[in-house]
Amino acid sequence: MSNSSHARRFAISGRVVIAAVMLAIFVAMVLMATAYPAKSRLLPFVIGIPGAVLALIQLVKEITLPAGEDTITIVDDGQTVTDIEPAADADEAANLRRETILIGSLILLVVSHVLLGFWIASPLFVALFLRYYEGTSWRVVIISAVATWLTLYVVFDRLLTVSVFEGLLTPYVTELFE
Amino acid sequence: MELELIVSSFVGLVSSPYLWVLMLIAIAVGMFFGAVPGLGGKLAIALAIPFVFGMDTVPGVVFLLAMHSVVHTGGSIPSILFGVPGTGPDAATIVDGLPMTQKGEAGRALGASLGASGIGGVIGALFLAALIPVLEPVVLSFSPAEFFLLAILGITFIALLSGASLLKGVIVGFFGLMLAFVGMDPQVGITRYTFGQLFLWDGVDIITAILAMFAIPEMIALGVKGGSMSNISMQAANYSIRDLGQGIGDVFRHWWLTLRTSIIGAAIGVIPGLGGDAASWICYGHAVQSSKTPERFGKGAVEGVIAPETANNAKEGGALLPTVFFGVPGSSGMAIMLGAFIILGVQPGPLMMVNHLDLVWTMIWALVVANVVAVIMFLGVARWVGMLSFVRGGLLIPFVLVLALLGSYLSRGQWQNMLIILLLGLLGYGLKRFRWPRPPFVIGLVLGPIAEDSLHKALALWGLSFLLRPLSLVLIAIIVGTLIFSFLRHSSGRLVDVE
Repeated sequence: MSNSSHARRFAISGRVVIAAVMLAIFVAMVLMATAYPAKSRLLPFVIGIPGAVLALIQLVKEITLPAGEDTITIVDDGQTVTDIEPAADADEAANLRRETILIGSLILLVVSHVLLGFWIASPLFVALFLRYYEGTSWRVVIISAVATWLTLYVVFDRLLTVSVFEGLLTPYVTELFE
Repeated sequence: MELELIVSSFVGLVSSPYLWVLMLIAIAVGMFFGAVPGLGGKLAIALAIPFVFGMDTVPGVVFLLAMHSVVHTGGSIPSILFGVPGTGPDAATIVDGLPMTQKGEAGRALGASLGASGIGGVIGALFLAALIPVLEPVVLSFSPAEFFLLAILGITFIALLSGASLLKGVIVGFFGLMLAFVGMDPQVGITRYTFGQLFLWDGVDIITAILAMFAIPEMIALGVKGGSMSNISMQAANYSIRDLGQGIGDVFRHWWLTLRTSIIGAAIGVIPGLGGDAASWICYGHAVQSSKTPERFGKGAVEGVIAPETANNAKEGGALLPTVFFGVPGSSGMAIMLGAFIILGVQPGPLMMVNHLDLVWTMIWALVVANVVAVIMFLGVARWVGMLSFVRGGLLIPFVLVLALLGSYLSRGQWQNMLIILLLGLLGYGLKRFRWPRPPFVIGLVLGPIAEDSLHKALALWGLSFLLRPLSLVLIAIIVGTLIFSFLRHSSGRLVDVE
């Protein structure tokens, strides 16, 4: 099976997954609300039950929607749109690959910041992303990483005097070196 | 008393060097976010939140409003010079702006655009100011019953903000409402949906949710798209200061059109859900209809630049009205602004009229001053601002992602928020990818606690008969009218997806 048909199948199943996730969220929240006192569960029921019903309708719509009805619509905050032709199969496969890498980068961003904190992870992430995703030159990579660290230090630490998170692992690592 | 308040708010704003510096920075940032296609005003507010986090209320509000009010001024520049709209509402400017550039009238078109934006922004702010005395008695007569119905009205606007995807929009709005119930229930004193996690006792952090739903998905989408944001070749757009002056003069020569489209734009801004695109296209259509020579439009008529640009900026003043006095955002950008206001310690709602009218006037003056200063600043740098449409999007992604993460951490100083931003960010991208509208989520999240608190108070005071109070009946009629309007709008099949 070609990459492109994988991509198209992903697009169709993705629509269904999103609708299913919304349904699951509503159902779970309504079920949890049953354990709360009457006053506390009033609005979760009033909102959650119709929400679950609507999500179920949407899920059925997504499952029964013909595959060819996909269009891509670009909109800002109003109602004007630019409809563009559905991407060619090869483009879809490339988009899916880029999408996967970017979602992986997002996970890396969060995990690295939780473990190492902003002082270490932010310049590191900027450098890695620019070098390996954007293919930027080392000179730009180094300048960007240093600029990121300096922004954190000058703007947030010095000017705004806010403390940024130092990471869950950083204190242990620092202790080891001391 | 009122006059004293108006004057002191103005003097307080313009006599503070600190606020001037903030406004100048905000205008530059707004210009950047407006001129770079794919960024826009919503992202600007979301990403500015970490920076305003440590500020006092007035500087924070002034910074955000000044920045947001000039986004479309910046967005018009690449529209005219290169045919690339910086933001959606700037698309209408291309119709006549680009032909003017092609005819060698780039400077005149830019001057007209900047002048119209500035005047439109000022008239929009004055429109808001003029409505304050009219609204005051209405707003001050509100009780918890009306607060509850106002929140419900806001939630019905979900339908209006949902574009073509009414069902999806309502589901996303309800999801926002459900997330608003996370945390300590003040009525009973128990925790809901916290899974034993202390950091969730205060509920889902609004800023984290906003950043997750808007900044993260936009950056992933930008990365997927790749390359430069502008796909057209760069062309030299040479013009002189004299040309710019001629364009500004055009705005005054067509003063009646400028005034009309500014007022129409501001009025459209008041109606939640219509958005900037509607304002600019409706005003463009009005300019064509009311012209004695409509055949010139589309071929480089300066009125075709003036009309959408006045409307774009004027609508911000109008959109502030429901946002500030009713807690009901006038647009998706204002929905994010509402969340930012809450972070800054401003609780939008009718009490703003009683307790914080000075702040409201500062907001109005900030809109006026920012729009005037932006025109002067932009006149000097317009040529270079236009070049921003050629910035490679991918280069911005890591910086924006780091800023978003920083914002979510700083909003409450809890590292767990970074996990929330990851989860909601992935969901937000899924919503964007599969064309679910995201603005209703913010409305649900912001209005959920207000609705719940007011409902319990109203029930305690009047029981279910609170629905029969005169003002309640008026609000119920408006809610029903809104629903019918939304239904008819969707049945017409002319709406499109709103991401």
